[in-house]
Amino acid sequence: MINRLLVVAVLLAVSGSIALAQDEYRQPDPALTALVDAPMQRPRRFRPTSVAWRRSNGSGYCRWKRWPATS
Amino acid sequence: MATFEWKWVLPLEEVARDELKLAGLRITPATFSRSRSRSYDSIALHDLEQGTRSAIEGLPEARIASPSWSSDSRYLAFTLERGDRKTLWIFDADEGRARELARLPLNSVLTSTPYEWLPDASGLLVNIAVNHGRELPRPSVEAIAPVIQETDPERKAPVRTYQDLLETPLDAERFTFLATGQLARVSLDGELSELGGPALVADFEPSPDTRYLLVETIQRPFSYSVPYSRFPMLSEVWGADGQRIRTIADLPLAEDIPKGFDSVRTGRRSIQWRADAPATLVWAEALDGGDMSAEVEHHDQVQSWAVPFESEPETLALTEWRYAGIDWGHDELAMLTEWRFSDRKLRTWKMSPTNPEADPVLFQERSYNDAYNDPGTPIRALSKFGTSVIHTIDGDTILLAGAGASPEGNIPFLDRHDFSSGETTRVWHSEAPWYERVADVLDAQGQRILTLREARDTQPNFFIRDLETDTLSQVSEFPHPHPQLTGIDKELIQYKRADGVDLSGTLYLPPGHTDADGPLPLLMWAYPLEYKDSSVAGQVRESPYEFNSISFWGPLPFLAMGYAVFDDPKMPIVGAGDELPNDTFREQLVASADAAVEVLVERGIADPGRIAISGHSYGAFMVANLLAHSDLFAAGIARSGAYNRSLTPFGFQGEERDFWEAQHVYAAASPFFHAEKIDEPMLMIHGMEDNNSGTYPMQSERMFDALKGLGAEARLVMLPHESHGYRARASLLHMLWEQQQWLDKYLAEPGR
Repeated sequence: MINRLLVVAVLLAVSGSIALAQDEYRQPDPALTALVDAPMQRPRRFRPTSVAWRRSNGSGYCRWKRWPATS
Repeated sequence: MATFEWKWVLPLEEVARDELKLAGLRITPATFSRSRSRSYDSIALHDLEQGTRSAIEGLPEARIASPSWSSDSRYLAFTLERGDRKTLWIFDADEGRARELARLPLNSVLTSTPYEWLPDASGLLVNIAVNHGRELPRPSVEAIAPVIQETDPERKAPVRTYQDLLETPLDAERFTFLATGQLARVSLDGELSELGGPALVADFEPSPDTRYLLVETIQRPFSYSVPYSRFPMLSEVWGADGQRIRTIADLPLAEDIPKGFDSVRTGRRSIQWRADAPATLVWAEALDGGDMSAEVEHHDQVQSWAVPFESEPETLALTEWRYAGIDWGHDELAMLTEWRFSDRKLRTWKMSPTNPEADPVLFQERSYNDAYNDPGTPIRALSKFGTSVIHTIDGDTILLAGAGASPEGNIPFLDRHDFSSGETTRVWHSEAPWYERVADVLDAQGQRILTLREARDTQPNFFIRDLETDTLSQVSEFPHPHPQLTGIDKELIQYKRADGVDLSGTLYLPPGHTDADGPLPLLMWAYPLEYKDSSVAGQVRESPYEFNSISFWGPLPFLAMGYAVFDDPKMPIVGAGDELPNDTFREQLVASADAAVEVLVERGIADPGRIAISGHSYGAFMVANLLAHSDLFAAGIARSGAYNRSLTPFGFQGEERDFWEAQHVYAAASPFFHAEKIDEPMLMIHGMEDNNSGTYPMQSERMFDALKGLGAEARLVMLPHESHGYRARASLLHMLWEQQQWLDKYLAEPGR
């Protein structure tokens, strides 16, 4: 009986110690937070879908299909 | 010109909205929309003639999406998603006012842009969510039944690891409910006339003369193995009143597309209107059973057929490789591209659509990985119909804008190419210390160009460059996104791999750092790519003058924490001739990383024991491999990766061979199979709803279990509601926190 209790206690201790530490959202350094909150108006990421042009209403109809997808 | 503030970072509650995963799509059932699509916060207008700027005011709080100008430049159409619906809005540039054109809920489940402008700008076509307001089919006890699938030994169906597929009859019922739409024409006054009846409308496109409509609808039977794009597809031409005129293609379910990236479904595919003709359809059809490995003279035939379909379809071209598409100019000029995966080649021909018998002129033939020989992309203009076509000068000259990759870095350019003489002349190119790209050309001769101009510490903005008067005027005033982080030192470092392959990467040092400060802890961020030609594998594809844009997504934020960053050191996996790249994946990966570490240590930038390797997706796969098969790194950060390639048995990344053909390759490249050799700490982060092909969340969970069981040092962070790219502010902040803790723990000097 004592042995069995001991086993349970040990198991509890082990499971307690392997439970994920800090299961909550954390905040990084403020310098990193500021980057997440920076404006996303970055034309560096320019694609035809991110800017609509007055002169043209489409990027053409050339349909490239089945290019290798990333996986 | 309109510019849009992009909304990438979202509140957690928005990312956690109810969504259904059906037929390869993620759907917000409440608004009959795709749940993970791109949206914008605000719209700014820039008058290119007057040089003035304004914002579209008075819009309700909503997700802005799918913007598009009318061909007469008067109206900007867009959708607004809020509450229980997505509706169509237009902004009238003459009146300076935006209004909701129709209150009816749009359906963007299959047609991600749920409207199309008529090319003459007289109105729009919309896809209406006919089941809006009705109750979504619910599970019932009576409907519970086993789900049964069978193979057909006559038909091999090697499919990649698609996710979010239909799994039950209830799924199929819900997919039908959500994807059913009703096409309608809407006038600029908002008057609506329905076209045809409700259907699973997958695509619709008005003919350039606006008299006809090409409509693609999905038919049954559906499939549990492939996404909706491979379901049976009916393509029809309708009249302007919605009357069916002709069936163009009636394709069966395509579960059995042969293996290979350039294999396709059989039957008429890529059906489109010729953009420069009133109403002529063009399509491609495989002559090889869709199987690119078949030995045939021609793999595709390209045909055209003019409404009212009185004669037989005409053959425009027979392609030796796989047809990729046609870009239209005018009766005598179209550019047809074909490609082949086996040697990564593409070829573009200039041809005459009205005289297909005439010999085509070869415009380019190169490896599509060969950036140095990329001639650029044709500048476009509007045709007399209002459709987008290749802009031509005097009929035979086109303008080309390109990145201008070179061993010295990208030097973007604008060229004129004269097809009659075959000569190309450079009109303009970017000059250091600026990095300036052509965004569009504003006049017929290519003398007035709209550019995006930036420098290392100057954020990109739009400018008008007048080549005749040699003047430059600024159009946009986007602010510096992170003024607190400027003065970063950047250098493109070029070096060689042991086998002679040229490599390069961009080194960033924290602001204020000098050589006298000594070596820094360093974070390396990379992504391996496969090549068939070692001469193009190490090409430089960036510019030393690009703006130091610091995204939370990549490694650069850690400059603010005092780390040096070696960004995108090339990790090419080359298989020349009969060799395939992944035959020696591990050896080449380790050799590339070894060369990168060597150059950094040699130059006194980093200490050998304080370098971490990190990457996302295939980059994470790389991280685990490098930790298993080298001792170059002190720690690794692997985000959203796949580690066991036997779970993607019909190919991954650029690997076409299946698991049973190349077990040794799959096993050698899978870090899960070598987890016992991972003896440096690895942080794994993964979105719990990752639906990217191959990178199931289970990949990280199983890898973590392996490392835990083997006694390795690892941490697994699963982000709720996140897919392959994390969107919630809380997730992104937490991701940065985890990465910072990991780097500080394993890289920082004691007491740092």
